[in-house]
Amino acid sequence: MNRNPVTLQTILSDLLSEGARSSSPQSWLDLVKGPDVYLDIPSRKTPGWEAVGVRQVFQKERLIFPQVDVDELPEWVVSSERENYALVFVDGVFIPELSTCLDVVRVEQKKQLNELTDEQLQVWIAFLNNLPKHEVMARLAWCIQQSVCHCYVDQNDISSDIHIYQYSTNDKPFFLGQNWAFHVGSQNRIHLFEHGIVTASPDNRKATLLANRLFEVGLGSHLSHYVFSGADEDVEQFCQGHVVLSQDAGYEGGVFAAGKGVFRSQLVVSLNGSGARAVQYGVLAPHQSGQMDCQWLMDHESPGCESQQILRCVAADLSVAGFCGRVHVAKDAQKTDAGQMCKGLLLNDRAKITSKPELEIYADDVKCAHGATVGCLDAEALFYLQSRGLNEPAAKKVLITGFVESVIGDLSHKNARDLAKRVMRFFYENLAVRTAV
Amino acid sequence: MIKIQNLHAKLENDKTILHGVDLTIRPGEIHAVMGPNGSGKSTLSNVFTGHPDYKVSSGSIDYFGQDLLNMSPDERAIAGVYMAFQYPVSLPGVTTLLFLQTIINHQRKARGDTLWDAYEVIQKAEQACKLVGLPTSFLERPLNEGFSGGEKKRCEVLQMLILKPKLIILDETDSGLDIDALKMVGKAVALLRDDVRSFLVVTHYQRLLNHVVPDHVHIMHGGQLVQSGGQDLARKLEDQGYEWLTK
Repeated sequence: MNRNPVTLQTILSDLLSEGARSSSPQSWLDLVKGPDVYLDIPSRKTPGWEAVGVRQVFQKERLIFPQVDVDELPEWVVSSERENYALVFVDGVFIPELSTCLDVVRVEQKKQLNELTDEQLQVWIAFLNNLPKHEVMARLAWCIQQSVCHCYVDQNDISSDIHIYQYSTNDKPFFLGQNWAFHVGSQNRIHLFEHGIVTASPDNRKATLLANRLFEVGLGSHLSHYVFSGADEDVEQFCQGHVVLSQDAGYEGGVFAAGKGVFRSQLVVSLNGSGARAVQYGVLAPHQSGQMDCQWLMDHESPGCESQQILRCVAADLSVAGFCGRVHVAKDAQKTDAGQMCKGLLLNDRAKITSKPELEIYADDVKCAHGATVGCLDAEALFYLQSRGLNEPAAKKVLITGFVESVIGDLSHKNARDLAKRVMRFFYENLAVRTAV
Repeated sequence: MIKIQNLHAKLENDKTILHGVDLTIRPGEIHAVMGPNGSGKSTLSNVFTGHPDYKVSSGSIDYFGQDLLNMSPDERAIAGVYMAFQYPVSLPGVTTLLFLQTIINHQRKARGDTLWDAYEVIQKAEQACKLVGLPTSFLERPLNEGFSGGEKKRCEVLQMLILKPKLIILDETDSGLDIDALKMVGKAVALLRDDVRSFLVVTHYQRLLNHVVPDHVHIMHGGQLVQSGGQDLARKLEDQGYEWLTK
């Protein structure tokens, strides 16, 4: 294990030159690289990387493979407040002793790649092969991971809220690579709430999280998965996901990020079974030099499926927010009903929002709608609120709240709405503080 | 007392709209300002509320001893200036109830009054809904989003009833209103009318003044108040139009 700080650039070079770790049941490089993959540091000119610049991230020196002693967990981790049903990870390692939902979720943690069953390995090969060819972060997540977790939800007719907590015991900047797969059996309902990384002190919260999430949702099941991130400076979060929906399965996803760090959500939803329904929500609210984007693909492979992508971006200061949404409708996916809408709100003339909605339709009996808008705060609405007694910051807050509420208010789960509002409060507080200054 | 002296105002494009307006409004009085299109009536209303598109080039507005023109729009609202907008904006994603709770408590906090809890706001809002003839379900809808013209005007009156401001400006509130709605406006003004509250009613037509009886009627023309009088003046305008002003 390397206990010295390294850079992602070094890891990438090692990967290309050595094929990474040798414990894989097949060539690691073959698995990670796959056919037609560009393993290179993305620039703003790399397709899909126009909004988020990561060259600096690749230069940062950080600790890798932190070694957590599961028998000597710090007291602040053990005694941290958590919801009833929790899956707990410390330094990227699943901690069953602190997790409280194991009657609902069966977790298999594999610390070596060759411990994976063929079935589990195939799942990851499919995931990696489905990634966009320039998605280097998902591949790097494999190289810096501590373990791979496969979580099975296979009881019938359960409906549970499960909160996923992550702690880091590092007192120095660190990398965290995570790979989870959730296998949801038939006729289940499960709601996952993924919280941001918690450290002993907020001052230590300098981290780069590379996370791969894979979800297989069985016949007639429903999965909700929400990610909440208050990204500080010097925090980068790259979340890659693949959701595979069976017949009549449902999925509701949500990504809520605010702050001055880097945040990226790359997601593919495969609607493989007829009658599947998916909706992906998101709010990106970067400020200062924050950079955030969403790269979402709804892949309609079967007939009679529905999907929606709904995103709101609010960009302040010098920040950048981006959206690239694609709906792919295969030739056999007749009667598809899909839509995507991204609305952007610029809070000054230096912030930037890019929006790229794409439809790729090969079937001839489908309904697909898409739209994108970017604008500033409505001056008349601002004056209207001021004429009712609100000062300018308060009036702006009301307008921004209204702007994002059309997404947050539509979330089907109250907990998700509350947590998303908490993320937005983080954004407002930062705005308010700086306005006062 | 509110005293406007030699008020000149122009738009951002330097087009002067008000050419020296003088007007005194005493507590408890209702003043109606009538005039043809483009005479400067709405500009006067907007200058009162501090709309950033209108620049005051000279003159003053003394508002109960305070220099109103030196106050920001929110400070004016806190001081009790309220305008029922001719074209109220919609606020997508902000429910009418949340909007009411926000503005009420902002004003109360600024004045050092105790804040209203959600229950109190709902109670007051539901009472006001009944008075202005809006179903209480409107409180759950985003403010003015998808409302008809008449519903938007009713919502403006609803806010006025709850906020109970010191100076109420009705900026062509009667435009687009049916007879029943005009009566509702009259009823709301009657409810609020007392010895300290003043009204500035801006309108084209005399019909509103059947329901909101003014103490003074002024005719605005070419950015000035060219004539003042009582109800008779409004009736004369209704009979003869505005053409006689230019002869």
